[in-house]
Amino acid sequence: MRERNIRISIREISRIEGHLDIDVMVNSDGEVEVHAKALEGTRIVENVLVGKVYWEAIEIASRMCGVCHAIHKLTATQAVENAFNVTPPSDAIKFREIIAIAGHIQSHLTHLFYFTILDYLGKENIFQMLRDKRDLVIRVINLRQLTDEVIKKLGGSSVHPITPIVGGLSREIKKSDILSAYEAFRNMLDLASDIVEEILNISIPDLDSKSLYAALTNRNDIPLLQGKIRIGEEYHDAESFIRDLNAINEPYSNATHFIYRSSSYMVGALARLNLNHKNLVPEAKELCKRYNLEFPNYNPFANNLAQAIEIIHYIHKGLSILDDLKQKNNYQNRIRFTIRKGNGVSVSEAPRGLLFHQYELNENGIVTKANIITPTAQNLKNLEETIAKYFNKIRNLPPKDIEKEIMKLVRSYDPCISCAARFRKISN
Amino acid sequence: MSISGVKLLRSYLITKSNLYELLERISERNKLYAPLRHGDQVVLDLAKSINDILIDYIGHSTLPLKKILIPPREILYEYWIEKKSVTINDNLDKIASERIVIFGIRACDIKSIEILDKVFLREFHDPYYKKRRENTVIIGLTCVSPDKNCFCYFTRSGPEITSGYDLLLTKINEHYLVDVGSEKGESIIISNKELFSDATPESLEVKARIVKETIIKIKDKNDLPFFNEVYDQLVKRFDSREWKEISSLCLSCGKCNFVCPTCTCFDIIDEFDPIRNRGKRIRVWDSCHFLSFTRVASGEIFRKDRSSRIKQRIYHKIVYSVNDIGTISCTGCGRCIEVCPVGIDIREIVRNLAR
Amino acid sequence: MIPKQKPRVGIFNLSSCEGCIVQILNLGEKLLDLLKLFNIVDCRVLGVKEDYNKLDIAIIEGCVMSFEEEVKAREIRERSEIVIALGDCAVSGNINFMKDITNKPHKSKPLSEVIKVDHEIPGCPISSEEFYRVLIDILMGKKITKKSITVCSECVLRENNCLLEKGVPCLGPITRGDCNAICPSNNRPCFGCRGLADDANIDALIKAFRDRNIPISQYLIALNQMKHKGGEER
Repeated sequence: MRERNIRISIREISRIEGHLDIDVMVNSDGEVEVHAKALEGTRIVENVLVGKVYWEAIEIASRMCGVCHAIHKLTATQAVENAFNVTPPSDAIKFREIIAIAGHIQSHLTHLFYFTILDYLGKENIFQMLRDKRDLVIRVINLRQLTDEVIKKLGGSSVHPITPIVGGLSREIKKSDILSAYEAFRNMLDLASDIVEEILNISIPDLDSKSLYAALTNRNDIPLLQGKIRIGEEYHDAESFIRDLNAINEPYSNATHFIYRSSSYMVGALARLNLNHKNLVPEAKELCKRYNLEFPNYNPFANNLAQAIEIIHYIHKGLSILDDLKQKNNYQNRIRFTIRKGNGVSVSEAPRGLLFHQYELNENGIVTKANIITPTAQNLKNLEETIAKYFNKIRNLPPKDIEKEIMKLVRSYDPCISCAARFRKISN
Repeated sequence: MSISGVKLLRSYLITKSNLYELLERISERNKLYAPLRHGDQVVLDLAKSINDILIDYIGHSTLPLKKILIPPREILYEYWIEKKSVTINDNLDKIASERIVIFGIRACDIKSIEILDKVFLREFHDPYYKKRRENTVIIGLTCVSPDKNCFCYFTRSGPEITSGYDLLLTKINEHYLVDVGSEKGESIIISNKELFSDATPESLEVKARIVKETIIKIKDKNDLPFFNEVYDQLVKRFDSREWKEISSLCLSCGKCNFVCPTCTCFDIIDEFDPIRNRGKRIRVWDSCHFLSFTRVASGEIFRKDRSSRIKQRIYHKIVYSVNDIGTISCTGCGRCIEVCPVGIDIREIVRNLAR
Repeated sequence: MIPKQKPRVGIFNLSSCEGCIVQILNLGEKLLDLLKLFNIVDCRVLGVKEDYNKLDIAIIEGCVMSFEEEVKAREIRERSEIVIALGDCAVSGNINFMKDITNKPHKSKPLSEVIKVDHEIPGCPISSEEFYRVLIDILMGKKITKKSITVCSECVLRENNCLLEKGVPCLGPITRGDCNAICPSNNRPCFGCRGLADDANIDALIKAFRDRNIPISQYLIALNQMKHKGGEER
């Protein structure tokens, strides 16, 4: 084994979800190696799921992550629906889509303003930003509250929504829900444009790091809950994609790191827009044009810009779904189904990228096997490679600055370690 | 509030469509609470549309009338401090301007008002209760289809009731017989004269028959002593072994208190906002089944043992209440039996202890 | 009545989904109110790290799942006047503990098993409103007591259809309330995220399930055994 010198070691990176350490090492040949060490206690959610009845399992699966809880719940629900071969009523699907969209926007806002933008404004945290950008902070808070309101109203609870269940929704859909959600989305639109431009105005570091991108696609949408997976130029369904994934358990990390066949890949907002930018709503396209933002874009820092564009896209998307629902007066919230033995997998777009839930259920609806692949677990290898590339570019900076830059890059990936670290026992 | 003079107690008839018209008119000037459908439940709530009101429903609403007179959570007053002076915004002022009409309650709930009055309008008058009570008109609906847990006959609170209401409706074939119980009730008749006709002697006879039939229905389902006659037996059985068994079943969930038309215990919460120097005093329902109910400032809890808590509830209804306000405080509505997840039944308890 | 010396607050997290910290962010503008009253000096998620020796209030989310986390919890305790366990993971272990109670590959501990905890804010997730109240009450020197209200009684206050009567395994009768019976009000059973109610009678609930042919989960039985042994719930 070649000798490795740890050049940079960052402990417990702040302003991300969960605990992540980064070590940058340079061996005697000058080659750079990066370890992204997910250090969250290993919660092994999959082990908890085995032996639980399907609906209990879904509740537990939602507890994987408190930031993207809505999409975890919805993906788990869809996976069980696939196993039971049930299709919920279209009203319920649309209703759930609204919950997913509100969760998506909320997560992006949290990440962009509580975590990321501070790197570009030379601030340590949002409280410092309060001092000279109080107006902006308050607008962000209000926009975030609107998303919260929608999730609370439609989902029943602002974190870990209650209403989505196998077969549709637990309670009936009221016209008043639709109208108030519509109102909230209208208000979001009013607040969002200034806020989003605040992000589009930041100047991101130059880094050309083209990688393989994977995202859900369909003909005329940037789907969150349903679609085919596109990776590079290939199209897959969830099963065949998972078959080509290779899991790497690095001794230094509590998360499994995934690669596609033999190469790392990137998921998330940038991947989504690189593969689907043609399907952005006109208002979002217009915004890209105004800010000279072109997709595909191979700079991983642009992930944050993509997130900002997505905020506008999904507010419009939400409005058009709600507009459809508004035309009706009666809604079907659920359909009956029979529990049966089966294997179900579902893939969705979490705010941070592709999310897989896979369950094997017995004839009583008890989970016999569970597998959850989170976006961060898919991004970690890619992140390590990109950090190595970036390190080569900035290695002559003072160590403190290198650290700062690396943290900035890590944050631009929007990692969620709470989700990713669930696989291995911590060594102590 | 008192019923003055026998001459007031007249009776009228009203058709169903005129009854809806009456309710429509009432709702224009008052907050009209009426039985409405909520899932599988019947709830007493603000009627947004007259067509939603249930007139011929079985049994009674899930929560009793007290939910209107003493709301489960009520801000009593708000206050704010400015330059050492305190301003109080008393909810009483708001209550004073409210006109409430409660339609469609049964004898068991009408009877409960008498008990609530004795609790809240004794030496100390609860101002919030008093104001609401003064501003409330009660239009009762005679029960002809008691639920399986109804036993008002044995608490002497129904199904026939002769006081406590302003108007009492009884369905007689296609009409409703309207008994007037107060001046307030009479004034409703007077100002809507064209909707009513005089009661016929036959209709009064039919009512008497219906009440008798309802009593038989209740008696058929229940073999019980009269609850106001078991005082001595219950006192003697205070240390009965049966209490252990009952308490081993009890979940201490407190549902029975919340649905009881005469459980009146409450807690007071103070909330203060130190930034704006504003505060609220809030009254919330409490339950003697909760361990925290008897917790005092030092942290001591007097009824730690579950059996002492369930005993408290039963004895309060049948013994302490007699000592305190001169009447039992169970109206036989059966709600506590209905909602108890483990099937604790006050009828069985009293029957066994009174044996 | 803004205090001259703002209490120093640290917000930490151990193993959890961070949803309870998200609930703090969900306070919206009320969070800005809290900033007027408290000085947040340490919070990794928000990127706050000031120099300090002592904390007036430490808020810890998550349960203890490793030796490192145990050390961290002890360090925080030593530095802090008041420690608040935030959310069900910290209060009772939540889903991490569910795993231990049924199959045992790992040991997860609620915070109170490792260090002395002064206040607990239960729930999965917590209610932001309750979090806000607790902090204000601490600031005002109020004695914080929890009411023994149950989810079941709050559910009847909302006049919902009873799920238990429909044969659904709802834990409302034995679960601490103050959540406004949010799950049963959305037609979903209570699964006990706020922990056992005071003097909860699990035996009686198991009987109530049996009487209605509701399957009884291993978890409920294990919980009952623990309670009879005098152990901490969840």
